[in-house]
Amino acid sequence: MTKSLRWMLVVAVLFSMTAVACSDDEGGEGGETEGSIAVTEVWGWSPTPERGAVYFMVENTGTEDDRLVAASSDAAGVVQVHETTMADGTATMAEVEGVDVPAGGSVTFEPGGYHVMLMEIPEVLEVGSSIDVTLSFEGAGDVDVTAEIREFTGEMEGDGEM
Amino acid sequence: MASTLALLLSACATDASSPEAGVGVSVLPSAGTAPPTDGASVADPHQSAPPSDAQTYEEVEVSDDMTLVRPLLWNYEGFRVEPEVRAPSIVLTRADGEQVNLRDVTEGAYTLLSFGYTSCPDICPGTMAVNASALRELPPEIADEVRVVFVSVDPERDSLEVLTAWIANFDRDLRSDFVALRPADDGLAHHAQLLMHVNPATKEPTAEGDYAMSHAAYQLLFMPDGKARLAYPFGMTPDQFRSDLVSLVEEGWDPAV
Repeated sequence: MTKSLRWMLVVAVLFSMTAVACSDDEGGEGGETEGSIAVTEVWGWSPTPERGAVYFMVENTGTEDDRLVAASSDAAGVVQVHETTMADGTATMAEVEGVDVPAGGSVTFEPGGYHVMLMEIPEVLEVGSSIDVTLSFEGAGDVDVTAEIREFTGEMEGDGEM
Repeated sequence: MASTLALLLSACATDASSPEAGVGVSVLPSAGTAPPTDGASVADPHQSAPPSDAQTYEEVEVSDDMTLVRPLLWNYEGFRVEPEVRAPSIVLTRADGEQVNLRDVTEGAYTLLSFGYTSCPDICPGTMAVNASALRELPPEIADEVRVVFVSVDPERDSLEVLTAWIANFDRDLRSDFVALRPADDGLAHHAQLLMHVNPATKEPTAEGDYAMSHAAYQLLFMPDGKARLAYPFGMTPDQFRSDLVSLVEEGWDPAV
């Protein structure tokens, strides 16, 4: 590919990224605020009929640290909070007991990192449908969010983390 | 072993390892760092990085025998595999029951190969979904030169039936099928990875008495001559794959800038 073509592509991608960022700003995308905890950019995907994952961003606008301790949903038989960690090109997945959300800080749940894992899904989650998920925080209590099921295209990540 | 050297040499103001990622996910600087832009409304830092002329030198020692390098001036989005490696001549079983030689399926096309397992929460299905997404929008004459191979590192749970059903979630609308391979046992899976200089996957017990696999989270790209010269960490976008695949199919392997 020639340099100029490559840069045209860069420009095109930047435009599309801007568009995505703008649409994110407008609505919480299934998000919800409970006290000082705001959950936004909620989405999910289901790569196979039995399994899925939900991703979102948690912001703690308060002055007290908080902690996500559980997640539940009627859409799956088993719901767990997982973390995938990467080191030197190797990925390791483990269930976590909680995820700290420090005062004034935020945590992004995203592919290759934290995720709410859905297992034993009784009914196939179609792209475009939505599921309700309850996130339980130590301080803020339960936060109900709605995750739209999307196609996983990778376009929303792309950090290429090793 | 992890003597990882990662030098940030550029003026990458927008380091893609975003503030949010500060919560312990990113161990190394990310691969696809966005080029500096002139201050316009750049998307969130955790949005995807665009294909860019490489500006960040990175070196990741993924095993004792393999290092992935992202040179400073570089024609590709992928990392360079050092030293380049061939697949071993070992026999695995394809999801449809056919016995195939791993070397044969990594020759004669641009072959993206990954190791994984079907119970994997997001890395493995995410990798396949991104591959599918990349291939779907490539012109047919380019896509026809590309093959996707998935090698299970969990033969205990990944029976041929499981593999067949799993891989069909990703390739059903594509012109050519993804190739899912099952080693006869853990030992052969281990062997296949070692012979490709990939750190073999390990079982990590979970609280429920089950296990997860800790495994390589990058794909190797074999050239038609059967040598893997590029690698792609999880998180590469379909755009980045397309950029490299188009350039490779049209112009061949040409690492010089």
